Amino acid sequence: MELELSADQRSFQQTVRKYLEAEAPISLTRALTDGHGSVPDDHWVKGAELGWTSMLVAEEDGGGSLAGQPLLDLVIVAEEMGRLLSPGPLIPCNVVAAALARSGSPEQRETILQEIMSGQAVATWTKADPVTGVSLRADADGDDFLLNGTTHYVEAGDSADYVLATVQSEAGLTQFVLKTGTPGVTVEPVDSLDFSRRFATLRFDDVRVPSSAVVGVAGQAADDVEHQLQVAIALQAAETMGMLDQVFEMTLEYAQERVAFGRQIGSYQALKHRLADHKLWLEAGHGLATTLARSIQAGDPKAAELASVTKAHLGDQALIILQDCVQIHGGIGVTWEHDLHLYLRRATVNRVLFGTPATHRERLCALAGI
Amino acid sequence: MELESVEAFRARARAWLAENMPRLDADGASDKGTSGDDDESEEQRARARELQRRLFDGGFAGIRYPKEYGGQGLTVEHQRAFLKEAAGYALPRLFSVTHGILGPTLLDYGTEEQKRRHIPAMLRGEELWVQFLSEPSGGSDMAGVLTRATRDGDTFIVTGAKTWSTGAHFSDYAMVLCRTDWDAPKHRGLSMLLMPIRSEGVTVRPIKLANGSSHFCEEFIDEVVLPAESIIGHQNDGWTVASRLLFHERNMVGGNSYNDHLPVGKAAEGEDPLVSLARKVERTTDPTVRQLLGEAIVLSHLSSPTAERVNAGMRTGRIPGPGASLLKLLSSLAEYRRREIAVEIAGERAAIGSPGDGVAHIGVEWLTARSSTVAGGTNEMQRNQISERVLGLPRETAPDKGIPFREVQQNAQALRRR
Repeated sequence: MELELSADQRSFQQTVRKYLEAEAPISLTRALTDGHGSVPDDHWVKGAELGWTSMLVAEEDGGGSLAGQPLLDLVIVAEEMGRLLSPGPLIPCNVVAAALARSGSPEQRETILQEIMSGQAVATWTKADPVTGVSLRADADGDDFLLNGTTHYVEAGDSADYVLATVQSEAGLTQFVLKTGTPGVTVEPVDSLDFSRRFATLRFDDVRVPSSAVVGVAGQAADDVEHQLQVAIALQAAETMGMLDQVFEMTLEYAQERVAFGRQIGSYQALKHRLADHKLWLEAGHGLATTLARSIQAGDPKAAELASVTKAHLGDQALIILQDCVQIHGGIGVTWEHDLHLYLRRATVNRVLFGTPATHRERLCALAGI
Repeated sequence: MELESVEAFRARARAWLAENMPRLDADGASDKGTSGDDDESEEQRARARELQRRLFDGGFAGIRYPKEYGGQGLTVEHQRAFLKEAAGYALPRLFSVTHGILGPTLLDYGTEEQKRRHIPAMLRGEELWVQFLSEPSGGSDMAGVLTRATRDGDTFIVTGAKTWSTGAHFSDYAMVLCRTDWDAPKHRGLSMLLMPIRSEGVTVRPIKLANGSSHFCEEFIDEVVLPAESIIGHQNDGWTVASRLLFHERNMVGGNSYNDHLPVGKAAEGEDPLVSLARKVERTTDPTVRQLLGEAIVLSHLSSPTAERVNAGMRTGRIPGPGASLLKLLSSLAEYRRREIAVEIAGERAAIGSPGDGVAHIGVEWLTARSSTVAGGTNEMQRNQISERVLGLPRETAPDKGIPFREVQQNAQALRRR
């Protein structure tokens, strides 16, 4: 099993990196953090034009990837966006696109999916907690359904045009796709530590949707929901690895430049040893992230366990590494001016999205049959 | 000549193994007699030699070894295929170190005569080899060895003490790192010598570990006479040979070894032993235990993806130095943490209980848990290697660098007397 990128993927990675360095470099998130920036209006449409919202969609629905490795190609984009902390609803849009591509009706795929793929519409999803499940309910009412409940921490909820709602219905777990503007839906924007992203609490008060809004078959969404979780974790893991690589590089450079007591601080064994450990965990993290993407792509039944392994591991380890990189920078590491906290912000939010490490350790027990 | 395809080889291996090799018990227990553990009997070791001979005769010994020395001359892909097919069979792991570390080192630096004499014998199961490197006075500082080899006509006279050699009490040959030039700086006065362990003047004593096991030995070498042709590589260039030996040793952990005795994966998808432990002590619903189990399961999943990532990185040059140190460090840290978790899960029974009750061994194994973080290069040494040779950070200062070793020894004695 070859974990290195193919020549095509390497050149794709360069293209993505060049684009982001020009259009959405870290200075954009810096500006957002400092309160005087805004994301260019066409940023997401441009990303869509480069294919970033189409990779998990089959060709017959207008999608396509580099060379038939959809998720492995898409994680390249996620990793590059992590490196530069580029804003953009990459994960929510792709999770919903993948869901519609998998189980959407012809109409959903011809309309909503196309809008998402073109970048004209942003989509998000309400998620199911890996252990506690969902907080939304759907009750049949004639040919329609009434959706009720409140769901939190919806990424891009404030700007999304569409929401994929995962709900419990009489028939079982069910998913609906609807416009966020549908009467009865209240979107309450919520801030997070990460200035480059916004979240929202979504309240559903007797939201009436037709049965044509069901994605797939009512009561049979469990497989889709699991797949969505795995895709989200894989993309987030790639993004986290991009962040860690960047910060580690920065820290290594600092350790070699900064002099104290007549020598480079990177010559002190305490720091050398910690940096060596971080290098190990970086390699492990990359190995896990790539193996996970490959295993989801291949439909491997072990992907569920691997997703939780990846999330549990990276959730904790990323913050350990980032905080130690702050430590190695000394005082400047905790200043507003230094970019380190921008990474720490996103990584801390990432840790709690899609299940905390504790949640996933619990899920691993359940998957192990205990 | 074209090599046999991996698929054809795999099919042949599958059929041959089914016909010729014994299977492991469901719990892998009949692995005894093949692993080199101290509780093996002479009889079990003879059995292992016999199995190795069988592998040799069947054309499956030394898969990556060159054909001219009795190997199969095949690739790492062939080896992987064989190891997958071998899951569930009792391979003679007694030969792991011989085939995985000593053999490849001899291939790299041995004379033609040495290679022809010993490699086929290793592959046939006739010769077991060990390394005599560490000494009571130093393990991490391997280049600081004090074992003396003095040239006397066409012989060397060797005197010194070695320690931590696995299975020396039942092995045949040793690679012995000696000092042949006391006026050269530390690294430049060393020579690697090939020594029959049963030579006149060699005394081998097992070392009993804190958990009661004793498969390591210490050796006393008292004016042993060896022919001058016993040198492996060049005189006073023994450090090159020793470094290579350590490289092969690290590769054993990294999954890039010449050793064909460690099957990949399990025959049946077995339960994580720590999960089984939690069941046994009836603590599977305890929330703390569940969190620890989740952590342990994560740890058990790291080695394979990390090895593939690191090995790929070394192939492409992305990782510029000893990537195997990363894998060794990982396995040490993961192993140690899992033992800690085992003690936590086992509760009182980790410390209080009778042998054979199915849980007490957790406490016993805890006593030597630090073996994994010390043996094969301590965690600290691995971290030095990684930080210096992979990350390019400045080297540790070495006060003994470039100084004649005679002087280094005097300085060390002076330090101790303070």
